[in-house]
Amino acid sequence: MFRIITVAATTGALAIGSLVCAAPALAAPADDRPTAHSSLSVIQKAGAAATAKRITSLNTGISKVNASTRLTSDDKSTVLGTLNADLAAMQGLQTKIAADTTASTAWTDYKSIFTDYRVYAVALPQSYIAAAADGLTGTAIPKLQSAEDRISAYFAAHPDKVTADLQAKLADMQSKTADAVSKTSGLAAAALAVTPAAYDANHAVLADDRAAARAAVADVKAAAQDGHAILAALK
Amino acid sequence: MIADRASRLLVPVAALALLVALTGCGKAGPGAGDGLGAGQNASSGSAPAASTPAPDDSAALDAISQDLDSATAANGEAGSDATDSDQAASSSDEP
Repeated sequence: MFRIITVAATTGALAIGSLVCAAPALAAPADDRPTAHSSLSVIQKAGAAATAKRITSLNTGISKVNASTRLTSDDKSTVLGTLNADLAAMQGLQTKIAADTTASTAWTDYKSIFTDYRVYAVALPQSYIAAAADGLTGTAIPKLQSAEDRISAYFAAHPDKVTADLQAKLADMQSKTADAVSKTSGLAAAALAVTPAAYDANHAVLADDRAAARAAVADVKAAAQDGHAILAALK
Repeated sequence: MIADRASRLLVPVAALALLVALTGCGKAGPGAGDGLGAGQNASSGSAPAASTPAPDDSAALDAISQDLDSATAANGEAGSDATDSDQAASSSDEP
């Protein structure tokens, strides 16, 4: 009887143990992402897909940056330098992984697609953040400030047309513009300073910059709406 | 007799003068010398001319409009860039 209980207990423990050991495999992503233990062909297939996807995205990004009239020349140069270097690297890795003859080497090359370049996590987002920031600081915000100055001058010349509501709208416009100035101050430089290594250390390293760009766009939109409302009342 | 006729003429003349003064007829131009602002003139008999911005006003308002349009266009592009940034980050399959 004791033996039966012992065997049953041992069998149960082994079953539970095997489930625990299998848990990581069950919890693994449903995609075809390889592991260090994958075969050479599996790693090569995943590497080809990952590099091709990034090459397409980088080419799109480079086209957008080249067409951008908002990026400063310095920032455009920095962004194109990063994106073109990443593009060349992805093309090189695509060729190398396809030619690798061992799973170990292919795995090392495959990992470098991510850890050395961070195309989606860093290179592309930081480029777009810089473009947004430069567009705001170089054009949108100065034009708003010019409109505010002109509205103030118009108010001074036509005090009979100035109502409390119009004054409040101008004050809100100026406040929103000041907020946008604050949020975009140094934003492009901060975003472009982020490296793949910084992302590896902190996956949220660009989150604040992305949020600042979105918030500044919302501020400028609200300020322009105030301006248009003032203008409609004056006409 | 002459004094009686004069007093009879004086009443209509005074009434006519009062009418001219109240309606603003006979003024040299809109707002000229009356100390009223453009907005107040808008309710007078010369409303059409007063409600249309003067040439200088039109230029000022056009300049404001152009500034706002430029700001809005640039902000639209910046918004598109910010969206692209979010999409790139959210589509990341990087571990």
